[in-house]
Amino acid sequence: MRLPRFIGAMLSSTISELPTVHAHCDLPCGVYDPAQARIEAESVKKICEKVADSDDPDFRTRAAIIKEQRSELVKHHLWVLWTDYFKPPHFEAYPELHTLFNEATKLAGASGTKGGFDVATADELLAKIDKIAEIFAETKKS
Amino acid sequence: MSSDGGPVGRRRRGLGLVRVAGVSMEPTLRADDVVLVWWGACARPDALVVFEHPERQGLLLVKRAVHRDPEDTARWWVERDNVAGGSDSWTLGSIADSDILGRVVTRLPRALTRG
Repeated sequence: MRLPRFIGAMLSSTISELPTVHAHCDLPCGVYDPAQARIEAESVKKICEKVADSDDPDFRTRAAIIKEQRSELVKHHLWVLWTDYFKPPHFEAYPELHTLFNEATKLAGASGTKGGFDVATADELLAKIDKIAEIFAETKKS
Repeated sequence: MSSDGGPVGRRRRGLGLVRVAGVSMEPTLRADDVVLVWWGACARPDALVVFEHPERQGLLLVKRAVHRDPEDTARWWVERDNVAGGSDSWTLGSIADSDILGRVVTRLPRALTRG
């Protein structure tokens, strides 16, 4: 009999002893990390690839909606880094930073991955994020 | 859950309780919610399913089964409920039937599970 066992287990075990199923973000919230933008950008790229292979109109519609949301998240995560993490001394030391952020957020916007399904654009976006991540890593060292 | 409190076996069957960690299934499931899982039940469209991470053995995930993978009908496409973040089939790829371990039957009332 499963039900009595289930009720007994409920009473006798504390919640902390239960097995855990994970619904994690891949990264802790509230921590600055260009990987957050990268993860969303990677999924944008996967969406572009999947849509190129699919002729299912429902799938394509859903993919378009999710790509829109995740492109927006890429912009959000980049803006957080741009405005909250990087400080004036960083922009002095790395004068290309402003341009990198500007280009990266444009690539995630309506003229970029948000507006189209071009895998090459998604790759360009990922490359810009990687450059920002390199600078980010250098500022963490110093 | 297992009555001895031990880890969840790969092929267990029947009902059990598990605790949720993380926020990728918000607003449906919050961190520290307790859900009743039917181990051995197969996925259905729109159901929450528990499955093993395709690359990290032993790591159990909970996501929403959306539809069969159009490219492989022996696999499920799963998604996060939280638009703001989390992994799902758009990053993990689709999930093999053999990796799906159970289906969420219900969430226990939070009044019961939060002290």
